[in-house]
Amino acid sequence: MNDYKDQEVRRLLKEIYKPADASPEFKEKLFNHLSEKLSAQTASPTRPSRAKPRLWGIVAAIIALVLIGYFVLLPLISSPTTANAGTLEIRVTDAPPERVVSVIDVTISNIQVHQAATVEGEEGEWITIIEDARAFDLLQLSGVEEILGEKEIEAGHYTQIRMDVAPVHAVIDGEDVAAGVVLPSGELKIVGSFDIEPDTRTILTIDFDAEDSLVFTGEGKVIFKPVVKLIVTTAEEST
Amino acid sequence: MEMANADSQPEETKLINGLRRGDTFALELLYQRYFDQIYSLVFNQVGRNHSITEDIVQETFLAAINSASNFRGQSKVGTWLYSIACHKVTDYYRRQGREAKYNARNVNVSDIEANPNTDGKLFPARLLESEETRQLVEQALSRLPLDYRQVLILKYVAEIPVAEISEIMERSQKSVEGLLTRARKSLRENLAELDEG
Repeated sequence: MNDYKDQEVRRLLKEIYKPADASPEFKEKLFNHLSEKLSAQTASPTRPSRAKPRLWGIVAAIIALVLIGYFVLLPLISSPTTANAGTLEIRVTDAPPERVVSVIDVTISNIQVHQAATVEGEEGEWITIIEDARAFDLLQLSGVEEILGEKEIEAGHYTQIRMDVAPVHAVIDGEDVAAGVVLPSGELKIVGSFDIEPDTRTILTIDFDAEDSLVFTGEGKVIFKPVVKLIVTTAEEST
Repeated sequence: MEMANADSQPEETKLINGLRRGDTFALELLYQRYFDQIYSLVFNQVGRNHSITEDIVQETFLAAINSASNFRGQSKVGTWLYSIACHKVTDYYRRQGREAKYNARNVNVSDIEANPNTDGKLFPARLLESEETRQLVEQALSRLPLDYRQVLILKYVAEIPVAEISEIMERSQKSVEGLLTRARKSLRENLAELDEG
């Protein structure tokens, strides 16, 4: 009977889901793009594609142009004598990024969620989901998700999640750097409500913004000030 | 659409090592071997929209290039790529805020002649006999949660064994088998519901 069902489903899906052909232009264009990416990646393996350093490079180039204009062009224009003139060549460049961050190791522990009170006037309860430390490199999580752990908890309404964050280890310009963690209450607390329903898997994804979380102070120090958002999704339990 | 025969492990290792070194020949080999399969897999999961498919296929191959150094060789290269593609599709729906639903073509069910299901088979035998009924089936599929559609496509269209699907979907084999059972059941129920009009 199962074989029969399998055949029926296969017949149906094969009719509906036909193989698809991409346009030759797209196929070729994408291959060329990937080749360029691969070559660029090999040429500068430790330079992550981060928008901010490039932006600083452009800003630096603009400042350089303004300074050239002020100190070189202005005296030339205002000078009445041009007999003893030289040539001014103007160039633009994108200076290399000020800092190349290649690792941001974050360690979090004691992850708890807050169950809302079911009786008016009560405070609710904090429930520990993961007690042990979990470490991950934020830069390796771009576009992917890492499962930290799971726990079966009582169905109900939950309103917050909190966790401890240990000092962060980062690699900046190839050097190991310890970044202190700055959190207003000494712990990372995210306010966001979600519901746990029977036989349903609720997935909380803590989405760190790696670039904005690492802050370079004027005193040359590096601090980790987590910028996060909480994404809540649900799925029917598979087992 | 069948998954390309993964060649011997040493050749796959060479392919990945080539990617790590930035060898465009390795990229070309990977591309020739898997592009069409990945494209079809994604295309069938996103409501057969070429524009969305192109974006996701691009993200998939870029992610493969970027994470080649993390590939440990514990699965076939094809399985690894399928896994990345399925995650990208999931990400897409999450971004769109319409998880588990894709943009099915508009089908006006009331326009479809409703015939009772009398043949006693799992699915009505008259299905697929016309474009209208084909659209009816598409709508039944579009009502399924994303993971149901993914597991059905991987199993019955890409014809990937359950053991590999469990690697792609990061679930146990038992969980995949359970998911398949529920997906088939939901598909059957959706079809019956739509067929009764």
